[in-house]
Amino acid sequence: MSTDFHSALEGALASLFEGKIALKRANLIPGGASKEAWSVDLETAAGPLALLVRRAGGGVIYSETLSLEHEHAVVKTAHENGVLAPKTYGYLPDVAGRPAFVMERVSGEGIGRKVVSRPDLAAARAALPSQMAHQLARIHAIDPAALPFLPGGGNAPAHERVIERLYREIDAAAEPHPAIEYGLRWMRDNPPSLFGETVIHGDYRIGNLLVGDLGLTAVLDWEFCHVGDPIEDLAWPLVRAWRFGQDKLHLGGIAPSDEYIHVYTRETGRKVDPKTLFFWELAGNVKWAIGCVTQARRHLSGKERSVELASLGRLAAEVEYEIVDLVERAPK
Amino acid sequence: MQDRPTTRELVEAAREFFERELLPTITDPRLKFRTLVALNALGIGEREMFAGDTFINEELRGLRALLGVHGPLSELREAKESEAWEHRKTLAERLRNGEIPPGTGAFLKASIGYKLAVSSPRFTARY
Repeated sequence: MSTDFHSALEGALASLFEGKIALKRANLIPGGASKEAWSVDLETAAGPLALLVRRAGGGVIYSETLSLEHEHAVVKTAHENGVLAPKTYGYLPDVAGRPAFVMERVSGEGIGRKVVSRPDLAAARAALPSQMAHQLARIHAIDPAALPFLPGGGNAPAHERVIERLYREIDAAAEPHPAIEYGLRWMRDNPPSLFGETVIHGDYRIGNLLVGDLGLTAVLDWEFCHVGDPIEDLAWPLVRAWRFGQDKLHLGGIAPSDEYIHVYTRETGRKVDPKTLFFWELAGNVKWAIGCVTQARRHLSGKERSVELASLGRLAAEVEYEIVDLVERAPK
Repeated sequence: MQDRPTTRELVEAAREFFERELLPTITDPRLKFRTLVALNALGIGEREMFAGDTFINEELRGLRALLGVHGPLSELREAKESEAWEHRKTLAERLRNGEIPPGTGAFLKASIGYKLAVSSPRFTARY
């Protein structure tokens, strides 16, 4: 870390805290191309603080995601509404030329493959289904009026907007994918039951949740938060890709999905029928298949050269297989 | 015509070097992960070269049967690829317009199976 950056960060952080502060340590956590995450230890008048600073990356900007200022507002509001979102300390419009926001650094395992397999997390996995349902119920109870900038909403129902967006995205890839069309066809022929629209997290799954010995410690990655159909959120962690190899465990590779759905229904009053849940699980797979195709295009177009993005183009076949398999097993 | 090693043998040699000599020296977990992704990409390339025309022939046969297309098959790989692309496009359009040719599900599973045999050969065994 350069001294310039260190002092810029320290200066920006000083504006958020009462009294004198001292920046003890700031390490860039490897990963994320579009946004940086800094693990920061701070000494304040009130004592030491373990912080996470999320800062804009150098190059790539995803147009579909919230700005850091809005993401900060979402995390703050979620925390204030009793969701296990990290406590926030403020938005910083300029940390060495780029925006950032500051939150507490929560401990826990975030890597999906480890959450589903670490032997010492067995008790956590047993607690997670009900915890995940409970957190989701709280997220869906957030008043959208508190977050007026959220995208989504509109005249057509959410599932129709989702289908329209998916068509737009697959058309932009300019490559025929009959399996994806097959999934979209089923979705159009079998509209889901409607349960109103709420604030939805947008990427609620294992891998975006921190897990400790007793289960869930934090809900992270709020950049896709928007207004939509709550069942889209409910079904997203059921998508096979987020089972991290534990294919038989429907809920994120950690458990069957029945307890999770049961607790969500009990807490929200939304009696989700199997066909509607299936609609959104299929929709999640279609969305992820198109995501793979689209992300490979980022590499191919030269926007963001990366062997990981390139490989996603071939990973799409796995998701396509799941789409066709799901349609063949669709509830009547 | 080039001398041995063939394209596939060259890629294999490079992959083996990365795997056996470079990979064990990498300690940074993130870099290690990306290296594994890159090695997997080279493996996909090798399998695809090994498969030759087998899969495109199978897919084309399936597409023609599904869409009722007849006539002689080209011998040229490029012509087969572009014919398959056109048929995939036709099938995609029909599905979007609400017309599902009988046998579509079975054809799709088989043709995705060909893609997976190259990109993820152990995947279908997990079903």
